[in-house]
Amino acid sequence: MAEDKDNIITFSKGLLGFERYSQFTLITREEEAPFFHLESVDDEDVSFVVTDPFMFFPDYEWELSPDIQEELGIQDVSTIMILSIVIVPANPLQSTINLMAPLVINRSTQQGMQCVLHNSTYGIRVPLLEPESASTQGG
Amino acid sequence: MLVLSRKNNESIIIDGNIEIIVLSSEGDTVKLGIRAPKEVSILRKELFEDIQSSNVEAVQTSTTLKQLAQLLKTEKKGG
Repeated sequence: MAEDKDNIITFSKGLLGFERYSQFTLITREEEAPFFHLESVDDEDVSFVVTDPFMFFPDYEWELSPDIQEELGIQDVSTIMILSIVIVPANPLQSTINLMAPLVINRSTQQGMQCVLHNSTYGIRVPLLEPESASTQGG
Repeated sequence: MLVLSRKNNESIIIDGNIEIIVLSSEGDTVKLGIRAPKEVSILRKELFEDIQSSNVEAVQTSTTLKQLAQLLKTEKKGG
């Protein structure tokens, strides 16, 4: 089990609905791969399941606006990490992924934000286990 | 709630640096222009609420993750 508790990512605006929580750690456990927990430093009950959206949706594509790059202090695109929040209900077959509001993290400064892709047609609750329906889920 | 009347091309200023302008109104649709510092997040309320509730749901359900990871491994072996 590898829990990197020192690895704190700051979401200065929080996440929508969780504006009060700005500091999170990314927790990786081998048995949960390819998923991670993004857990609040202040309240361990505030924990999101996240994953690399490109792994499930290779065609997932959008433009990172210059404003966001500036806000996160992104100098070098290779330091960007994109994660999507996953909802894992009691029946995990019905898990969904939020492609409309990905988390953008600058790994070099450990600054992150939840971006909303206003103009895209990506959905907020896209079935995770049926990738072919991703682009048809209206937002 | 503060209620104001504005005509087309009139605007309001919030906090000195956010301007909301009524560009036009037709029937029940009002077209607004917004000038705000770029770090100010502007979202349609429906979208804001939808993402917010999705985030809340994500936190409430994050405990069944191991099951999902297991499922994915089984699926990969099968396919």
